[in-house]
Amino acid sequence: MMERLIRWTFEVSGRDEYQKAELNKILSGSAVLVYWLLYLGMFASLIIDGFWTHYVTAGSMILVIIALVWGIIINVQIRKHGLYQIEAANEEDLQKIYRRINFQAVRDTIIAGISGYAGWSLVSFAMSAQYWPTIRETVVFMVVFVGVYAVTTWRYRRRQVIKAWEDN
Amino acid sequence: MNRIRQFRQAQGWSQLALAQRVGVTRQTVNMIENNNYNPSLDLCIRLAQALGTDLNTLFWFPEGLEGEES
Repeated sequence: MMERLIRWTFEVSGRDEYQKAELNKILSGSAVLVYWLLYLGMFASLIIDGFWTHYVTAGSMILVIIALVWGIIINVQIRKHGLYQIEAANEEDLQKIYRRINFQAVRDTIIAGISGYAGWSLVSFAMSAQYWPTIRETVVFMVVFVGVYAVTTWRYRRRQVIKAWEDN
Repeated sequence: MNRIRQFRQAQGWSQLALAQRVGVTRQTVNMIENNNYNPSLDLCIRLAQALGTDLNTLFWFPEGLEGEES
């Protein structure tokens, strides 16, 4: 089905393996580019909503939903095919990987926290004509968001580590 | 690095003729001959069979001979 859609959209068939390989490279590269452009468009749309209309428009909501669904589909596919898995050759290697995961989890949680606060502020600003959240609500949101993100990220990444020496 | 061009010319075939025998496009044969594309194992076997040789002869180079024969 996907091949037919590609042929119909770009009028290229990918008749043999070289063409298919090149086509896949081009499409995967452009998909990542469009993914970020979509996020850029989504944030631009939300900011414009905030400044001009003070409520979230249907167009922005559609962009948010598309970006989220796209992100979820890609992540599910990556996980389904085991591409997040890391193999540890021995106990020493395992400890090294765990230390790296700890660092990555802290770094990603900080980034997610900043992004989450930015998103929260943006939505609050956009909705300010109708409602403005209290400091307490903001703190509760941030604690829950950061806490859930940190724990799930850290646990998920540790679970992806395979102890290769136990696999006989 | 491969000897596809050498074997193809020995047979007196064009790139298109070889491509038709192995079921790919001429463009693919050209890319493989010029080392711009690494073919799959399946295609390597089909190429070797079409050219009447084996994978070792077609794709394996003893150390130091890569530059001389490609």
